[in-house]
Amino acid sequence: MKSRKPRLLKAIKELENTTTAPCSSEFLVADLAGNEQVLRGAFESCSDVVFRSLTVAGASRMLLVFVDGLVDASTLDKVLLKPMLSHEMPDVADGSAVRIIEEQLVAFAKVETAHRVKDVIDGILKANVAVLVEGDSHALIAELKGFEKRGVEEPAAEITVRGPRDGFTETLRVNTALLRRRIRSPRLKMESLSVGELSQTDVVIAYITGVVQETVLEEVRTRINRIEIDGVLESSYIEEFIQDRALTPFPQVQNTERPDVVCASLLEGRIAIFVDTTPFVLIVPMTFWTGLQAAEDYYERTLYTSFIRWMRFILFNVALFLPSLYVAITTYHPQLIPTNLLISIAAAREGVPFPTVIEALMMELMFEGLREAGVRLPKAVGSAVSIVGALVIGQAAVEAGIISAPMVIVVSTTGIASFAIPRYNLGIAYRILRFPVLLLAGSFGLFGVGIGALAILAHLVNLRSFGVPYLVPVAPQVPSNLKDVLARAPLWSTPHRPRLIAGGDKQRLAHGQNPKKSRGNQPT
Amino acid sequence: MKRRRSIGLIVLISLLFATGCWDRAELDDLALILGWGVDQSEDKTYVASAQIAIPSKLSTQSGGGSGQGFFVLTASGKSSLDATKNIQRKSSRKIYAGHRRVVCIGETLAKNGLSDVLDEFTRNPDVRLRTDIFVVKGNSAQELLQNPYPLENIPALAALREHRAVGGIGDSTLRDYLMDEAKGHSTTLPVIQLSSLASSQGDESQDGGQNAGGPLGLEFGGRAIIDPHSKLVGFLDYDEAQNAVWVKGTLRHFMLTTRVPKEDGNINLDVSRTRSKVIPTLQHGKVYIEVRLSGFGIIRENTTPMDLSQVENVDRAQEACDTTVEQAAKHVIVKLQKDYGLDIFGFGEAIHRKYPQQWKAMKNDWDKQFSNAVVTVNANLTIRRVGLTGPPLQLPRSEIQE
Repeated sequence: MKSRKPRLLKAIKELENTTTAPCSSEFLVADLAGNEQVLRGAFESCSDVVFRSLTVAGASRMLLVFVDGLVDASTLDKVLLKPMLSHEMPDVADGSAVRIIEEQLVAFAKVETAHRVKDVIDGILKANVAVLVEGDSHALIAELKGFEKRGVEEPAAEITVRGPRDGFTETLRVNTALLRRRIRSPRLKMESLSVGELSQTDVVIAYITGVVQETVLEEVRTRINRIEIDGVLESSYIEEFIQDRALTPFPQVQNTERPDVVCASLLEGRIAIFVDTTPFVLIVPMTFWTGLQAAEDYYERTLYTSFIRWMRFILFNVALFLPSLYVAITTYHPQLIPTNLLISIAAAREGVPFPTVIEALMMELMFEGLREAGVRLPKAVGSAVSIVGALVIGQAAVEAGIISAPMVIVVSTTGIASFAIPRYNLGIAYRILRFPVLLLAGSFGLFGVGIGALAILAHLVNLRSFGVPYLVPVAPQVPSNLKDVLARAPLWSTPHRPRLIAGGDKQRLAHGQNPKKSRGNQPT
Repeated sequence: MKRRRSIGLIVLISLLFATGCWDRAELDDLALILGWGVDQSEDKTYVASAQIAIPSKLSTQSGGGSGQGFFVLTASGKSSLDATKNIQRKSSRKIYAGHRRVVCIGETLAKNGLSDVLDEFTRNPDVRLRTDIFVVKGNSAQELLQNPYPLENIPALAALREHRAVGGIGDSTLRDYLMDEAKGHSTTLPVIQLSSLASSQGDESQDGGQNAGGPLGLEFGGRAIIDPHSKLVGFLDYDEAQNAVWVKGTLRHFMLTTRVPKEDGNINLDVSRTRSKVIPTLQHGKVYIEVRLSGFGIIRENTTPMDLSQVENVDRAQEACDTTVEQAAKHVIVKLQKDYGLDIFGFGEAIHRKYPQQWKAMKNDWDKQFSNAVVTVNANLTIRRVGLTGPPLQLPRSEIQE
């Protein structure tokens, strides 16, 4: 068995021990100069750490230590420095200076006292101000966070026509606040952890007690606590460690930038994982069908949404199988195509130098390349690429007789279809799987496509996300929850939370709220 | 364990490339046969002709579409497939019969018997059973296939569409034929013939008006009677054929022109939903067959002075139509009883269904019994609509019958 102490962590520990070498003492001492030396030793060559020493009335020296840029300097001035320097403070007896400063600060900020050097250092790094006073062997850690943050804007990736337009930001507290704004109940819990040996990233697990499945919650906790890594830069770092299977194109953890999506998921009994410094919040467990549901489904009219959902079912099959079917049928089973269509396809293929499979592969790769090129381009260049792409892929290739026109139609239809999947990460799965299925179609015809489809289906049935079957409620079938998969039934007709996902109370609304049935709310 | 898995994976992946591309064929490596013709020459060899589409000529894109969209390859051989093999010698692309929609059988071959050429149609997995088989009247199939048709890029398809247009169930005759022949019944096949597109004497003249000048086209020319030995024994002209098919029950619609008794002029009825019910009765060793024909009609033309907005007049027209249909159907049935002694109507099958025990004894000499069967025909047409006008508007008021 592996040891529970990976070498990486040992190395980090050693590194810390060497960098904080002067930190001979573990505890603060009553001598300010000594403390300052210890801290300065710890923050050696950290040019962004500010040491500010000042003498307060009553001749006791004090030292402020904070990271420049993370602290709200104006508040600091108002609260601490002005009163102290303008001799408004009462004379302090020796040793009670700390208490007075603390009283001053408490009115404005959360204040903790620290005795250990390590706690002081951690506090400073977490955007707090450390106040050390001469003759006192403990420091005040005041939370005066004031770093720059992005405002709440509409998420770029998940746009709705109707629905809230706020999106998460890179600041954890802003994100949790957006959640709390929507669910004002003490049953909404947020557990804090920190992950990452060096980055010390704050992670929050949010859930609603009584709705969440306790076993799943426990599993999430243990999986996150198991993570040992130097730094967490994005929620995907967490996702990779907690997902059930890595070697699959299908995502088992949903991510979103929309607070309303997170709320809806929590109400269904799912669990959200916030990670500081990224606007993307993870939601577990994810099922296949959540990947085909957009936030707006629940804000638009049910009939329209049900229709759109069926469109998506068709489109994701198109995204996966259309090129393969085209290749398989035209090269192995021409008798399946209506005669007139066959003749026009044959006419278009006249003089095309490549076999259909190669043609399809070339065009699909070209399309993926175009997409990839377009994603990260500076805006000024982007339009140029799309023009070139349209001309190269579309017209020039056909006119030059290198690619047949039907193939262009097939590839572009496939491309459009793959972007119609609401969850980007599920769409990626399809775009990847298209290629093996295409190879199967080119080698075995429809037989190969069938084998490919069966293999994918078997894989999907096998997948689980935190113990929840990936295809629930279709396989295993939960008839009452199918209303939200095959269609989008009106809210009043879906009184139950999804089984196998939600725990505890499955009832989410009172029965008999169909507005059609007279409930005394109609004008007489 | 891990090694075994990786070896398995490698084997699986190499399967992809080890197929030798199996039976893959790109579309531009196939010669698409759309029409097929089989003849028999004097020395009993089979002559097969294939009408093959030229995709580049049929292309809707610019640069294509000049000249004929098809060409015909002909070769002879000891059997149908042997001839096909020899056609392949003349074709740069693989002969592909999966889209063969029309098969034309030359008259000579049909008279000598079809059975030898049909086997390949059913044995080849590429070929559809939903092909139309036509007997070519008056010409060889090769001549017919070589003749262009102005409306269709592929002339063979014109035959198919004509067959549909006159109320036949297109895409079906090979299947129907095999179903009948396998049971040892006689049957009919549709007839296609070359005729002058611009001449009015098409049907009556022996050569289909081919000498009248003008471009030749394809014409649907009734049906050919095939005996249980798959030999062509005679033809039914168009009207007889339509009636015969109606009796058999495989007609979709029917155009009827009839005189109304005591009136001057014709009524033209467009009959759809044509149905036929055959009710056999066996009594004292004699076979009685009642045929009930029904359908719903719309009056398309009325050259009589009757005012069709009056119900009595419509009833008279309906009776006239019924009588005409009964006579025509009776005429065809009698013709087959007396001249050929062949049951092409499926009466035998009806008896088989109703009297399975007696049928066993009858079936061997059924065609003889059929000749002696007493057949009555009852037509019951319903006139649903009479068009936009009641009385003929072109007549002065005084002449119109109320």
